[in-house]
This record gives sequence, structure tokens and C-alpha cells, in this order.
Amino acid sequence: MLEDRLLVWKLKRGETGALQTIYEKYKNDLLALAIALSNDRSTAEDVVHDVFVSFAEFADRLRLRVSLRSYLLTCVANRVRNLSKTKHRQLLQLTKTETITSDEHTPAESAMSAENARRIRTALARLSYEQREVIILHLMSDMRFRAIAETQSVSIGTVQSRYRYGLDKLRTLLDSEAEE
Amino acid sequence: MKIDNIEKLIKDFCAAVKTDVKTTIERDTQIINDATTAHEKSKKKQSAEPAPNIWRIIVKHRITKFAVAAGIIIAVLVGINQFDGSIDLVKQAYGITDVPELFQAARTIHMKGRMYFPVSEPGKEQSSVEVEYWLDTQNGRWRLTYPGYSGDNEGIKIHVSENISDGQYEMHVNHTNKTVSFSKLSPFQKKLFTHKNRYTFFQLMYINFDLFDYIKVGREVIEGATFDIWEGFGKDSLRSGMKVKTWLSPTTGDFARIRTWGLREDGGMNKQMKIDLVQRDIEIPDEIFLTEAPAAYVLENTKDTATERELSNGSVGNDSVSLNCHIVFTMPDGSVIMGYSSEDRQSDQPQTMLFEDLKIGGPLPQLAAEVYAIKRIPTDEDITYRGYHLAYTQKAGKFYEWSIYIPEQKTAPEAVLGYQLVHRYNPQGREINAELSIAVAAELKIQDAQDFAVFVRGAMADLSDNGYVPEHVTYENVLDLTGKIKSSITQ
Repeated sequence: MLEDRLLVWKLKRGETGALQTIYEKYKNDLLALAIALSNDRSTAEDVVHDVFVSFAEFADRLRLRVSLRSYLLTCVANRVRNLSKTKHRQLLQLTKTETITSDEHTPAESAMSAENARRIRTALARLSYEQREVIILHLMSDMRFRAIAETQSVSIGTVQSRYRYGLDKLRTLLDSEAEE
Repeated sequence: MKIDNIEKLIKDFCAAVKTDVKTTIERDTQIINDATTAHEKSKKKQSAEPAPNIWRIIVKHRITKFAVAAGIIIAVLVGINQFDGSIDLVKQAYGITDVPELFQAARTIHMKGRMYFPVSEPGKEQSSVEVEYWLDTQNGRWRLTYPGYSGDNEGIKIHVSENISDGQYEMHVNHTNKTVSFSKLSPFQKKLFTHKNRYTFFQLMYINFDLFDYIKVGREVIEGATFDIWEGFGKDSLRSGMKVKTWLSPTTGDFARIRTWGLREDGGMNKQMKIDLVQRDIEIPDEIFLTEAPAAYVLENTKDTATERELSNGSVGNDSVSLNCHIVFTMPDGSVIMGYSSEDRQSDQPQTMLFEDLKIGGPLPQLAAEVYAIKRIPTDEDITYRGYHLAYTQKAGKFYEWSIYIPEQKTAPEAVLGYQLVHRYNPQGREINAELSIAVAAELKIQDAQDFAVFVRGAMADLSDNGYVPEHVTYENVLDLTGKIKSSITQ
């Protein structure tokens, strides 16, 4: 946290090297979150690009109320959310109803059983975006419910409900697959 | 897949994704280059950019230049027409009662003036600050520059703020603290806030025939044009001593001036508003609605982190319970529809059970804070509106109750400013440390089925997953329901 404040301070003083250090520090976290939320690597890379360029543009005037990491993760989550809404609208216009899932295999499948990882990814994709976002932010990005609630402008109770209902639904989806 | 611990399973999956995901060198280079360029550009812009001046923008804008030129041409043509010997006997005559319709139909509205701050003693100079409102009703854009004030022993401190909507984001600028924050607007919020902002114009001008009595007191020629002078006086005790004076053109329905006053404690009058520019249907330059933070202002968040605000007309809460009144509508028959939510902060039980087996027109769900009745403001008459369940919606796991409140006695046709919510805690008899008190405004009056579809069903869709609204919630069904309940109360 202190290191981040120092980096932002250096950046505001015009040391562009600080920008690179911040990027190197958080790039993989941001990309992993964007992939987990969007289920699409190409979209995720574009999101990380746009978020970081936007951060660089406004960094000098930004007053960080949360940690730099939380700020950047929130930017990624919000941008993916905006994209998901646009995609949802497009899907509605095309009257398609199938769930958006990618056939792309992530390397996660090498760490878990490939089949299990695919099932989890498919199940996550079937959650509402709000539920998926809370679960991913909490379990992947280690964000506390209070921090998530603040960044989403909802009550902590709402965040906890989304988390609980989301996990319940995941369990049901994965259990029902097992029965089949 | 056998699930013993779903939380651990997902956490392991996330950890695996995190471990394996790596950016590529090509992307890294591109991002660093683009970010560095953006940062350098931003630095140059900040050092070179003076503070924005709205008037300079307007005067420099090509549309305004054209409008100014066109105005001169029109003036010349009107002049010629006046001297050609013809007499137009069928001139449109606008009175003060035509104003709401003219402004309801306006595509754009612009108003500029000064707001005065009250003083307690006669002879003391009233300080004032400029207010300016721009509204583009068709595209859901607005720019409202307005003051607020706080007073203590050292005197009155004035704060100036601006709310600017570009139709997608709303930017809130605090000119006192020099801070900026953004929120996203849902399509419904765009409609709702446009409606509310239009209503604000009427409030500022005291154009409300339920609250003010108007009389025509004279006529005055200002810069060659004739204006009728109308004076309005507050009808009820709350507005006793409030006065408005307007100069309204009987031929165009345009205002030349508006002045308002309020009553001082010693019986004297304080100036409240002095408006010298009111325009309808003008072309407003797009720059007025730009949501770019002024240079050197601190950003509380950015558009990237801006979220949609949950609709709210007021909320309260403590460690035990929260109560949020999301929106209130007054129906033409005087009944009131309210959407609200309440959470028990000491329980993690889902609210699903509370919303099972509810009947339309039946008892309300027993939420942690149950708004079983409302009382209207001003509370001259002690009239209670009893609550009945109408519908519920659900968004991302959160429940929203939509109740209808029906007066237990016949109500007088006086204007309603708002409603005081009357609630009880569930389970009943539960001890809560603090009393929650909430009063909500009543500016959303439903006139017909179209209003109902846009605002009531729109609000329900806004607080619902995928915009779902229960089919039975229609204008006709609700009036039918309130009619039946009123009959049963009478019997």
C-alpha cells in the first residue's frame, strides 16, 4: 500500500517509469480477472489495455480512496460489466438465448482436471453477471465484501446475498451435471 | 462432479487461472506506450487548459452564432411585417395557466438567474449566487449549476455545485471542494431525472396552481415587447408570505423576468430568486453537456469506476435494520404506490420466504422495517394511508416490495408535498436502538396510463432482473384495486 502511494506520487511528479512499474506489478492480476469475468482472452486484453491507458490519463488528478490494486480491479470489473450489458443487448436483438461460453481452453485446465475446469467455467458463465462478479472479486482478487459493496454502490447485504445465491446456484449446476 | 466445499472448489479454480494467466510481451509494450502517451498528453493539457467558461463556449459556438444572426433576420422580418399595413386580429393570448403546458412540450429549456440567501434582520445585504439550468429533454442531458448553504455563528457559507449529464453519465462537480465524481445513468434514470429536472423549473418559478393563487396586476413594455405582470401568493400555511412576480408575454408565452420572495421572521420580505433569462426550444451546444472534469479538480472516481446508482428517494439505517424508499408515485385517485426495501442487518437469512404466498391487495410482507402506512405532508389533517401489497421485484438477489397506500378517510384536494413513512419492526416487539424516520417527496404524479407505463412500470423494471415487471401491474388494474379497497373501507 505504501509502495503504491509512492509509485502514484512519483507518477504525479512526472516519473513515467512509475507507470511501467505499476503495470508490471498488477498486469497479470488484471488480466486474470478480466478473463474470468469475460470468459474471452481477446476481450480481456482489450479491457486491461483500456483500463490502464485511462488510469494513466487521469492518474495525476485521481484521489484514491481504496488501494491502487482495488481501484484497478474495480475498473476492470466495471468495464467488463459494461461490455456484458452491450453484449446482452445485442443478444436480445438477435433473439439468441444460448449462454455465451468460449471454447478456448485456459491454462487453468492444466492445474485442475481439464474436464472439471471446463465445467466450472460453464457453470460460472450461467450465473447472473452480478453474482459472477462478486464471486470472482472475492475468491480470485481477494476483495472483501465491504470493498466490493463500496465500489458497486450497493449494500454489503446485497453483495453477500449475491455471493451466497451465486455459490448455491453453482453447486446446483455442478451437482446436476454430476447426476447426468 | 462431487461437491463437498463449493467455496474451496471455486477458489482453487481461481488460483489456477491466476497462476496460469500471463500477458504477452507485444501487448505489454503496446499498453505501456499508449499509457505513457496518454499520461504525457494529460499533463500538457492540464498545464495549458484555462478554467472553462460556459458563456465563451456558447458565444463561440457556430449554432449560437447562427441563432444570433437568425434572430436579427427574424427581427427585421417582424419589423417589416408590422409596417405592411396588415392587422392580425387572431393573436394567441397566453396566460399564466398555459405555462406548464408550454414547458412540458419544450424540447430544451434554459434558465439563468441569481439565488439569494436569507438574512434574519431588515436592512442587511442579502448575498446571492448565480444559478443556471440547461435541460435537453429529448436526449436526457442536463447541466444544473446550483448553490447550497450552511449557516453558523460566523455567518452563511455558500457552496456551488454542478450536475452535468451527457445522457450516459452524470458528473457531479463540487466547486467548493474542487472535486468531481461520476455515476452511470440507466435508461430509466435518464427519463426519470429529466422529468424531475423539468419539475424543478416549475418549483423555482413557483408555477404550481395547487400551491399559489395568481392574479394579473398590470402590463409593462420591456425592450419594445409587451409583457403581462402576474403575481402569485402562497395558498397554505407553509407558503404563507411567499410571493412570485412574473413578466409573461401574452403573444409568445415567454418570460422576461421572474422574481420570488419569502417571508422573514420579523414580517419583512427576503428576496429568493431573480431570473432574467428563460428560454424554450433553443439549440444548446453539445459542449454544455460535456462530462469532462475541470482542470485541477480532484477525481473521486472516473467513468471507468462509475456505477449505476440504485433509485432512492431517501434511506435510513442503523446496525440492526435498513430502510430504503426507492420511489413514490401519487395516482390520480390519491392513492400512492411506493417501492421500498428493508434488510435485517443481524440476519443472513434470505428474504425469499417473506415474499411467498403474498396476495395482491393483501397484507404486506413482514420485512425488517415494514412500512404499513404513510401520512401526508403537510400534516394539517391526520390522515393515514394504509398499505396493501401490490407486487414485488427482485434484482440480483435483493427483494423490492411495491405497496399501494390508500387513504382511510376522504382526502381534501390540497396539494401534497410528501409523505411520512410509518413503520414497525419485524418480528414485532423487536428492540431497535434508534427510531428511523423518513419523509419522501411527492413530485411524481401519475396522470394517465401512459405515465403509468413509463414511470411506474419503468421503475419496477429498473429494480428487477432482466427488466421483468409483473403483468398484473397496469394502470387499469391498480385503479380497479384501489376502488375495491376504498369501497370495502367505506362499508
